Amino acid sequence: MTNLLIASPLLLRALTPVYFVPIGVLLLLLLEREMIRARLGRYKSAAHRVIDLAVFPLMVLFLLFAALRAYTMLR
Amino acid sequence: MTVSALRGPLRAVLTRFCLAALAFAAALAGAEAVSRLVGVFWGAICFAAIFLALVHLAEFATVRMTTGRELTALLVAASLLPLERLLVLSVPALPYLRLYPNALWVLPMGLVSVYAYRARWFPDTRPRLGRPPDSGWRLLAIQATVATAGAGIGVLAAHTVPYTGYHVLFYPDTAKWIGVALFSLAGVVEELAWRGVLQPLATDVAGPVGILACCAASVYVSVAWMGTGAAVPMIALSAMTSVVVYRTRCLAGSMAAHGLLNLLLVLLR
Repeated sequence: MTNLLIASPLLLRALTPVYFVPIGVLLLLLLEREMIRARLGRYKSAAHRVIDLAVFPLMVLFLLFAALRAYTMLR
Repeated sequence: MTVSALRGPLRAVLTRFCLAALAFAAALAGAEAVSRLVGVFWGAICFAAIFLALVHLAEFATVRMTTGRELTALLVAASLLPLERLLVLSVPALPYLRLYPNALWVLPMGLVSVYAYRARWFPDTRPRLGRPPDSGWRLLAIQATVATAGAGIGVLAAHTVPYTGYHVLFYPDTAKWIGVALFSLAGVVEELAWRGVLQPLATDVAGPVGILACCAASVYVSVAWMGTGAAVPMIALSAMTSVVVYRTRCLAGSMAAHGLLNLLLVLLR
């Protein structure tokens, strides 16, 4: 087991449904952000900033997930 | 937010804060129960729902409420609690990280804590990361004492918290050190989020009750991640750092203390 982990330490083979919960939340918030932008134009409102702060960690998590999965598929 | 900014008598403000905090705690407890009893997936959905509800309440506060920016900031800071639980439950688990395979949650949580700490649209009540230039040796001594006390609690915790797995040095590869570093960083990140962002906002609204609520919140997230065995050391550390950050308005000591606690806990047990 240890040798296997050393050989391929960052593999993400098993996907479970729970990984997709934050992605769903992220999509919802991005959609809402676009709706606010369509309503208010380029003016960055306080609501915009609130959504930005909520989107940021979920986007980082999504990028981590995508990077690990891409690495697994390419190997 | 100062109490006067809420435009109500102190007692009414405190009552409203306590009721809101109790409702929030009940929602988190319900989501935690779902996570333990029904399954991680449904628990993550519950935490996601609480997170979304708080984000929308904060949006609503920006538009409708007369209290505006301060209430929005408090709601956004409170939304970091369900966010952390959501991240812990749904981050990709890597056995590579050894003792805590889901420790990758530290990265998004750390980045959002820095973002919130540096956000200019938050009221400027946050404690400083370093000591102010005109402060004397006393503040430095307090910070050093807090860091030392955190290390001491870590050594005690390593000997008292029940643990049946392998010692971290059992693993022959260097990958274990990444897991150890992330575990230690988790303490630093939590101090920044709870003592650096949430506590000053909660304290401005409700004074000592806000400190108590913030302390309970930080104990809850730590124990929910590390297990109930870690409750006593986390309560001791959170109580100490909450008071010290409130009194000195300096975060350095508490961040060092929590980081050292986690580091020694994982290395010595």
